[in-house]
Amino acid sequence: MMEMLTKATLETLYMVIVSAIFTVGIGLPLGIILVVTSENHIATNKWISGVLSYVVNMTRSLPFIILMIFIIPITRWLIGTSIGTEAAIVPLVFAAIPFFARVVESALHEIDDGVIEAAIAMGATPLQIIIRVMIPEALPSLVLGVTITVINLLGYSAMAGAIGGGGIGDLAIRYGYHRFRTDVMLMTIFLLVILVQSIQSSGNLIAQKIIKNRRK
Amino acid sequence: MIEIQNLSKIYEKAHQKVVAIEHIDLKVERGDIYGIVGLSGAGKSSLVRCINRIEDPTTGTVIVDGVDLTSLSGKALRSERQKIGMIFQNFNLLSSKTVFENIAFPLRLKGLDKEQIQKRVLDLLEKVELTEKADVYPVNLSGGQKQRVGIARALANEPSVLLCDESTSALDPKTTKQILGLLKRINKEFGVTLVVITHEMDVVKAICNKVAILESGRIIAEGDTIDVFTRKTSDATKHFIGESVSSDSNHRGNNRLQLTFKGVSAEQPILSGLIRNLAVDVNILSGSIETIQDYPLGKLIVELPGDSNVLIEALDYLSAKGVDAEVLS
Repeated sequence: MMEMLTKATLETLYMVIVSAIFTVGIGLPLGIILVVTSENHIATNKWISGVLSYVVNMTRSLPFIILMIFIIPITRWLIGTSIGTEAAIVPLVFAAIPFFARVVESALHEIDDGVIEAAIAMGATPLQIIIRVMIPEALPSLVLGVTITVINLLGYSAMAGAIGGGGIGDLAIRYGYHRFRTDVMLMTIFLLVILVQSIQSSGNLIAQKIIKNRRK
Repeated sequence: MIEIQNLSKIYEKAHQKVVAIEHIDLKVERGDIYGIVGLSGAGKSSLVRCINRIEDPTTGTVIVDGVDLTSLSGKALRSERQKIGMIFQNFNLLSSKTVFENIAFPLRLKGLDKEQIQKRVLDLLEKVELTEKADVYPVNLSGGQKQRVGIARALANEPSVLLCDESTSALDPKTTKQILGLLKRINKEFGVTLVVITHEMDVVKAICNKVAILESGRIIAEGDTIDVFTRKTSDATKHFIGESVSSDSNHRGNNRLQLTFKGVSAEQPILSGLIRNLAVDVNILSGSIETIQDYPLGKLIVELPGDSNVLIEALDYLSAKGVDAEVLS
């Protein structure tokens, strides 16, 4: 059983870490664009913000299991197959990007307008404002946002078993549920709880450290 | 230095037009400390934000140091903005950066090299007396210290103009005094032209040599501070300039005068001269002396018992001595 659990845990970690990297890589710029194109911001553009917001809402309204099936053609086009751990990463990223973009959006909207105004008055370009003002100012919130997103990804990844993605959730369903292996079920739950707890605490720790550092 | 012509700013919110400022003409000379006062909602903030184009005016032009800012955009506008410093009511410092890095921020935007930045920032820290706070984050500073960081940051690019948007409104009276002293020093020592937006008349009295009073988006009075304060008040300007002496006493006597002494006349014994030379009686009803820009300004309400001849003679005497006299009754 240990062997099974180790394999499943590694699969889960692989799916979550790789999809988290893609999610942040794509979701962060998307969230930034949502903010800066919004009304009275540094690059207001009603059209872009309207379209992006609509797309984000649309993707978020699909339950993950449906999204996973719905985008199978895209998965096949990107990975070459729609089955397996790699193939599960694609829907995971698709589901998490809009979520993370909204998290980024709310974190960046929290920044005091005056600080951005001061940067504009100093002659900063929009890109300089994003990189040197907005991201550093919102860093603690962004770190917490990444934490929440990773935990969400962990939750979604449990469903990846449906397309042969493997992982802890898949193990729980195949052995714990279908084969009445209560011991496997309990172990998987225990593992998931440990994972979620450690992700959340490391996120909190990093955010706290940044905030504490700024109180020096 | 700054020339504002026919400036208007109209906001459109939900198909409703809100006029913030309307047809404003203003001229600020090099070396001025120009005060713009008004109640909240009078359009001060919009006006100052149109000067460095943080806000785009609806109509009109703004010329700073010979450059028409309203005609610029993109890179040219950003590089002009670097020549205009700005400080704010809420300081607007970056909480993610130390005092040193906050002051270095505009220099880093420009891409100056490390040594230049180091030298310039240390120099500025010394000027605002915060050298020992270089590595501290803003959260640990007092309001006055934060504003001094704001001032140092605004001066980093050696601007010719410094815009001060309610820069002392969040500070206690003692700190306000310190900051105003610093601003005055900056004006004198570096020849920086200051535009001071405030709702506090005391700020204007303390440092501004010129003043414009703004109400409902229009300038209702402007000129040398001392003149604006000694000029006869209209109803509109009254609640800013205030009547430093109460003229609506219950006293029902005749020949009541309001005398305004400024400059030299405030330091001379005019009243005793009046009594001795014209042999009249003078009742002092109320009076005050205040200092505007290190310039004494006295206001006195007196009563001259007697007939109208006494009054005419007294008025002649007073105007010969350079005292403004206004007949109240």
